[in-house]
Amino acid sequence: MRLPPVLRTAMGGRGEVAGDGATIGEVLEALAREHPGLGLHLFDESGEPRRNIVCLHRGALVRAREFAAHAVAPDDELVMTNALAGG
Amino acid sequence: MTVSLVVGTPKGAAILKSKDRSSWSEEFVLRGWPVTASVRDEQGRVYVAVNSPNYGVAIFASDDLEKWEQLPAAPRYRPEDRGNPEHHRIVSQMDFGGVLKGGGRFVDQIWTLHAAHGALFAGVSEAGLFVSRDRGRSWQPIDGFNEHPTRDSWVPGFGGLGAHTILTDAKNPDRMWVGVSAAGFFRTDDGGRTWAPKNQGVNADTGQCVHSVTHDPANAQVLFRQEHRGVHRSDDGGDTWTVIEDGLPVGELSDGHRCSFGFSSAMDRRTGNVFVVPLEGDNFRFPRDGQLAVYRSGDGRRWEAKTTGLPAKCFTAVLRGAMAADQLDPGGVYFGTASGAVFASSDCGDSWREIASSLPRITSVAAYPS
Repeated sequence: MRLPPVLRTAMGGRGEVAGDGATIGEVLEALAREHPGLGLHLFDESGEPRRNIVCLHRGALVRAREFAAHAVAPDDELVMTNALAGG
Repeated sequence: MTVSLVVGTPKGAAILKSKDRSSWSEEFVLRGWPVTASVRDEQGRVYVAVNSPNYGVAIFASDDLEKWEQLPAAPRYRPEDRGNPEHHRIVSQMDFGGVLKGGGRFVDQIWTLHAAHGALFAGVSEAGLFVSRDRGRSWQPIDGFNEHPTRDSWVPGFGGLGAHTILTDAKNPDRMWVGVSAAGFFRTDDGGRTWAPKNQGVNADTGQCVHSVTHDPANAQVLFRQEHRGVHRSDDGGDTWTVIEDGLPVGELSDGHRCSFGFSSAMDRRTGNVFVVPLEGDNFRFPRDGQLAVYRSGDGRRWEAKTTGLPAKCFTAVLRGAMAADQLDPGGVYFGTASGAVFASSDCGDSWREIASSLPRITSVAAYPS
């Protein structure tokens, strides 16, 4: 998982982190377990992925509501970014 | 004597340092994070609260103001806590990624951090209070406040429903005060189990819009309160309040009430001097005629304007968390403006000098002597 610049501050400067899972949702949950501080930024109080987070996977844009069902394979690269509105 | 200032802005924090309070260095840290509050604990560690519409709320800590580590926890409500619909409407204009489905309560901002009696306290919006007894590695809600019997009647202010002021009594760990916009000022005398509203004598129409309160924790009975509707004083720990506006510029609010409007306040505890920055009413929110002025009170009742070194054409505001005192001798006082300038006085407010400019909107200022 490649992190957006502002979240790298939360990871001591690391730009990439690895997590296991069969879906994007499972990968994010694994990252949150291993890095609780990062987890604060990924999931809200209800336990849902923050809705402004978007992942790029194999060139496709995957929105937060699709994370739980979106399958990934070992060694896939995910790019985390955030939904943009306006210019 | 070294003084370090942590200046919070929506784009990070400026760290201003000086060994003589004359020459200042400037660094900009936590870039990209809106910085909303800071505090230093009794062991000297500095904590900074951040928030983000996309990534929520977090706290960073540093022992040297250079290396920052994000703490693994931050204040959070329980999934079942019910939120305030009007507060949701206000913060959803920022498109917070944390706006919860089903109207749940969530922390969109830490307005204030406070260190006392070996604990850290956080005042947040949606309004609530949290405590950490392990230097920020875990946080617990103070349910006596967060589930207050009057909570359903709390009305959000212009910036939402936020608990922005925390005060403590150095001699009595069971006594504590919290200010909420626009629900008023509350005090506990039993360590946070129960809280009583403390607004008697404060001019009010609908709700109680406390903007800031300052005091000396060692003399905690005496409180100074900058309310939406004027400047007040209490000599009995908040039980009763009286208006103290002798010498302050009094203007007209949008509803016709006349008082001294403003947001920030600070105290030099060594001398007891209190400082406020009046603004020309709620319709204008800039200094009268553009003359930026800090008003100082030595006796806590009468005020005198201090303008030496401050600009005469200044049409901006000083926000509630953006003024601090360093508690040195002579007292240093600092404030930041919504247009990104930091002003400093090293003679307890007699004269001022701009020590930083061109920063983003300044939302918080904390001063740490060493």
